[in-house]
Amino acid sequence: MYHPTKPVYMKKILIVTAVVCGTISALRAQTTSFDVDGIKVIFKPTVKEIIDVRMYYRGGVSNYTKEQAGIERFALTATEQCGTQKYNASTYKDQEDKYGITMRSVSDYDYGDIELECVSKYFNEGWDLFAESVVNPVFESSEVELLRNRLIGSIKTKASQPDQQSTSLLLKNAFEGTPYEADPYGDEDAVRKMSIADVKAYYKSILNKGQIFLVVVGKIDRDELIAKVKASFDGLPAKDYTPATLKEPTWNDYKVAVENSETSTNYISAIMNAPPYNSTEFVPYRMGLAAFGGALFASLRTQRNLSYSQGAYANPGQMPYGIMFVSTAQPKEAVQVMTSMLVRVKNYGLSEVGLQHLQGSFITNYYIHQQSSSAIAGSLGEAEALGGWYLAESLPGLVQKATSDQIKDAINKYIVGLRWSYLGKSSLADDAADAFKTAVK
Amino acid sequence: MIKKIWFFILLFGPFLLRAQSKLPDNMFLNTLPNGLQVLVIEDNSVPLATVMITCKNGAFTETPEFNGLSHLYEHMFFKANKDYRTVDDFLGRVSELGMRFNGSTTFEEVNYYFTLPDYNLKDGLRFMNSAIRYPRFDSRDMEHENQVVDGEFQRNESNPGFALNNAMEHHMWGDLYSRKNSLGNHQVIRTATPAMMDSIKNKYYYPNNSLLTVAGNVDHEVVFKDVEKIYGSWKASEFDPFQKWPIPEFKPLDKTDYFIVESSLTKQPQILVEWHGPDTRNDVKATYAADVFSDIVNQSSSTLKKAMMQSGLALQMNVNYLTLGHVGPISMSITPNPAKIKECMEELRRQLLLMDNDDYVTDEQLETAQRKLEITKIREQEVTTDFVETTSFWWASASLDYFTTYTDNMKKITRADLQNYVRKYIKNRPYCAGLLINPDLNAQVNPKDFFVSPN
Repeated sequence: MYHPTKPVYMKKILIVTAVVCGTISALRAQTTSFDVDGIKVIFKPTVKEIIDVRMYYRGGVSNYTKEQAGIERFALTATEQCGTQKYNASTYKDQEDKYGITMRSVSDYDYGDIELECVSKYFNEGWDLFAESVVNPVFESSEVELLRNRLIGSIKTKASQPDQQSTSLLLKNAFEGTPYEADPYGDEDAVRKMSIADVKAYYKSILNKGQIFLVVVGKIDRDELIAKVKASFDGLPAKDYTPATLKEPTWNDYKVAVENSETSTNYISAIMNAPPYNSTEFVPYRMGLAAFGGALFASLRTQRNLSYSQGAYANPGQMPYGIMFVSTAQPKEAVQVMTSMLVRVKNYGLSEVGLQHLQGSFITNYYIHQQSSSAIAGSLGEAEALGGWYLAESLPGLVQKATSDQIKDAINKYIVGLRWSYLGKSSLADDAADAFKTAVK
Repeated sequence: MIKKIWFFILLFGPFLLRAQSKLPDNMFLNTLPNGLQVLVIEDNSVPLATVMITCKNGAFTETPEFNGLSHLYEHMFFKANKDYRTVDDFLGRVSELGMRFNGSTTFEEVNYYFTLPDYNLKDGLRFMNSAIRYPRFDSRDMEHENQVVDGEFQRNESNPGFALNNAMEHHMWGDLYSRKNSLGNHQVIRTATPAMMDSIKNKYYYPNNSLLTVAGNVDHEVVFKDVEKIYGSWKASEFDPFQKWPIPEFKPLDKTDYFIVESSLTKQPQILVEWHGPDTRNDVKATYAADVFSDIVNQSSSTLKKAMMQSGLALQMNVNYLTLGHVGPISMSITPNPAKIKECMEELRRQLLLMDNDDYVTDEQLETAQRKLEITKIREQEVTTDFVETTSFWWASASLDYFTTYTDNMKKITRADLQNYVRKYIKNRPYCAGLLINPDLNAQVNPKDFFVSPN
C-alpha cells in the first residue's frame, strides 16, 4: 500500500510569489446558504465523488474555562467514538469500516466541528452515522474511559513534537489572561479529572440551533439535503446564542518565553497583532505577511543558509494574529535577520511587479486548497464562524483588489511589538537576548 | 489440444493486454521515442496545472559512500541551470509563473513538481525541461545548500520518532542500510562534490528512466504535442542503469531482534515492529494480500484491535505494508498504555501466533477490506496535486499496470491467500521490535527485563 506518512524528505512546501497573466475563471458551482428549520446550512455542490459534511459549534474556548481545557475535544470526539442510541460504539465503528466512512472531530479556538467524509455511493450510510453522533450520542462509560486514555496519550505526543510545542508555548504566553490561554487540544490534568457527566453536560450546552450551523460540500442534490436536515435535526433545541466579545491583548513590547529543550535545533517563533478577520484590512495584512514569509525564505534559507524551515503567516480568529517562525542552530543571527527583514517590509512597500507576483501566489495557493471537499468545507466553516462564509469565497477578488499602500498600512498599523517563544538550548537564547529586544519600527 | 490453447491466447491476448493497460477515463499515457513516459491526468475542477518529473533514483540506488546524494541532488535541482544562471534567476522565474514547487526523495523514486495557473502550463513545461536536463551544480551553491541540509537533519533529529525509525532501519537492513535511508548520511552530504552530482545525473537522469506527469485543467492532446516538442530532444541512455549497477538483494532477517531507544524528547512510549514483506518483483500476489490483511486487522472489529485496543493495552495501533520493488516492510506501530507495556507486548506476541487461524478473519471483514481499499482508490484521486505523487510512486515501485489493475487483483484475494501471506511473512518469521521510551519511564518499568526476543 502507498502511504505518504513514510519518511519523505524535503516535504516543506515552498510557495514563491507569482504573476497573474490572465483572468482565472470560476469553474465550479456557487455556494449558497439557507435556513432549514432554524439551522443555517451552507451548501457547495461539486463534481467529485467525495462528500464532506460538518456540523459546527460556535464559541470554541469561549465556551469553557482554562481549567476545562480539552472538554470540547473530549465531548466532540466522544460523539463519534463512544456510541449513540442507534449504534453502540462497536457497531458504529463497524459501520464506518464497512462503508469506508470517516468520522472525525475538531476543537479549535473559535469553534468545534463533527465531520463526515464519505464517497457519494455511501452517503446515506454516512449521514446516518453523522446524524446519530450530533443528535444521539450516549457516552458509553467504558468507551469514554478508553477515549480519555487516548486523549491523554495524544496530548503527550503533541508535547513531544517541537513545532507544536513551540506554538503552544507562544500562544499560552501571548494570550495569558484571555480565553485563548486554554489549549483546545487539552490539558493532561484537566482531561484526567473530567467526569462523564461534565462531558455530557458540556455537549448538551452547545447543541442548540442558535449555536450550530451545517456545511455540506459534494455531489448531492439540494432538495435531498434539505429533506435530510429536516428529518435529522428538526427536534434539536432552539436557543439564542450571543457570541462572546473577545479583546485581543496589544503586544507593543518585546518579550521572550524560553523553554529549555534537548532538541538538535532551536525553534523560535514570534507573534504580532493583526486586524479583525472580517475587516477590510485583514486580506492586505495577510498578503503582507505572506510577502514577509517569502522574504524570510530568501534571506534565512537562500542567502544566509541559517535555516531549513522558516516562514510567516496570518492566523484568522476572533483574536487574529500573525506569526513568524524559524528552526535554526544559530538563534542570534536568525533573530537578527528576522527583525531586520520585518523592518524592511514595514518601511518599503511592494513594487507593482512584486504585488502582481504576490497576488498570483495567493491565487495558486487558494485553488490548491480548493481541491478536496473537506478543505472547502473547512474554509467555509471557519469563515462563517469568524464573520461569514462568503469571506472565504471572496478571497481571490479581494486579493486582486489589494494595493501596495493597503498592505503597507495594515502591516504598520498592527505590528507594533513582538512576543517571542524559544524552545531549545537556553544558553543560545541568552546569547540572543539583545536580538529579541530589537524594536521593529 | 496445444493448438487450441494457442488459438485461445491469440484470440484473447490482445484484449487481455488492453484490459491490463486500461487507464481511468481522465488519464492518458504516451511514450516518446526517447522512452520518456508521459502521463496526463485531466481534472478541470480548479484552474491549475501540475508538472511532475519522477526518476527511478533514491535510497535504493545508493552505496554507503553515496548515501544521501539523491536527496542532495533533489535540493540542487531547485538551483541554477543552463537557462537560469543563478538561484535568484531560478526563483524569479518561479515567481513570474505563479508556481508552488517541491520535491521529495524516497526509497525508490525522486520527484520534482511545479503547480501553477493553467494558462502558464507551456512555460512550466519549458521550465521543468531546463531544470531536469541542464542543472549546473555550482560548488558555491552546494556549499550553501549543505548548511540547509544540516538544518533538515537537525529538525529530523529533534523529532522523537526519528531515533526509533532510524534504529529500526539499521536493524532491518543491516549492511544495506543505505539502500533504505532516504535522508542520507550527513557526512556524505557535507563532503559531496559537483562531480558526484554529475555522476548521479549520468547514471539515472534520462528520459527512459523517467515519468513526466501533467495534471489539472489541461487537454491531453495539446500536452502530448507540447511535450514532444520540448522533451523530444532529450537523449535516451544507451544502458539500463539497473543492469549496469544492480540493486543488491536484501538478506532475509536471520533472527528476531529487540532493541530499546531511550530519549528524553519523548513523553509517550512507542513500539515499532517490522518484518521483511513481499515486493512487486518477486511476489506480486502477496502485495495485494498484504494490503487486504493490513486493512482487516486495522478494522475495529478485528481480533487484533479488540485484543490490543479495546482491552486498553494500547492507545493506538496501526498495521501497514509499504509496497516496494525491493522488499516492502510490514510494520506495526503501537502506542502502548504506559502502565501496561509488558502486557501489551505479551498480547501482541500471542496474536502473532493466531493470525493464520481459520477464524482469525471473518468473511465480512474480508469483504469490508476489499470494499474499503476500492474506496481508498477513489479517495486518492480527489486531490489532483497529491494524486500525481501517488501515480508516480506506483510507476516507480510497481508499474502503471499495477495501479490500473489494482482493484481487480486485490478483490481476488481469498482467505487462503491471507493465510499463506501470514505464514510466509509474519507468523514465526524473524522480525525487529523497537521501543522508544523516556528515561524516567525506562527506569520505572525496566523494559530490558521483558522487551527481549522470545527465542
